[in-house]
Amino acid sequence: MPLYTISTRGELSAEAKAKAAMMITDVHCAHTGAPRTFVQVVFSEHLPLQDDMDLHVLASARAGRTQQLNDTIEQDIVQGMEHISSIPSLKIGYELFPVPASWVMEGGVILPEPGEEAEWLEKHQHSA
Amino acid sequence: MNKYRVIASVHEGGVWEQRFKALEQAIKNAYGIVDPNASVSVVWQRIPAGQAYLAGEPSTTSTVVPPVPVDIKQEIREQFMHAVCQEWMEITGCSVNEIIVNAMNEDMVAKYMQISQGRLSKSKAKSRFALMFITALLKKWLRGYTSFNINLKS
Repeated sequence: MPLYTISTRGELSAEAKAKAAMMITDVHCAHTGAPRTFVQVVFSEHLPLQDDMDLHVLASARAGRTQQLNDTIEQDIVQGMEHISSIPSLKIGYELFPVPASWVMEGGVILPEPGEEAEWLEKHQHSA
Repeated sequence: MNKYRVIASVHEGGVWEQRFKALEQAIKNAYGIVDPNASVSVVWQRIPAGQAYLAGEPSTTSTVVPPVPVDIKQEIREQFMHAVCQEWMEITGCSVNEIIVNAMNEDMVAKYMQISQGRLSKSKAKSRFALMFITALLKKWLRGYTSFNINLKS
């Protein structure tokens, strides 16, 4: 967690997928301070997206962050996807689905609430 | 009897394919912790190679989303996730960092599915879903498990 699901009408090249995964990981971690090992990116291709969309980002992320922070992450990811995929930002949809951290187990332990990562990492070094 | 549909996102050709019966049984057994009267089915979402990343690198991590009752206590949720996680590691031989369990409240799973379907064109999605459904039935008949590909090729 977060899990970013990138859905496309067609296919992104292998290079574009790798770049997008790296960009999303960079953006998410730079803004939230979350460890990189938390960030999952999955690509779903050949989806019959709504007519006004060629690419869609569904961000399932830990709840509890400010609207401003979530908006900044969205803006940067949409801009990054526009750059990588050459799909105009107007044709890129984005939705956030917040999930309580206490509902997720990664590395065999419950995830920390946003902002409590440092303490959590110190306690559970193996999953960092 | 309460019905729960578990989504397990796994990598195409992974160990799960040989061990799916044991994994399905382990998940069903773990539900005894949250709801002894549960009727559980598992749907396998297959992810082709090169379509999943963790920490910006290609990944083979599996993610299991087992819905749980909305009024579940956190202590029980954690016991349940531990049980699923432990069984998964024992059966597949994966490391603790290769399995993620997200025990979402069942109403939130429904909401997630709603958002997920909301990105699709209803008219165009109909025929693709019909094809996906038929393929899933065939797979169930041929291989014994219900699965679908994360891609929806027409």
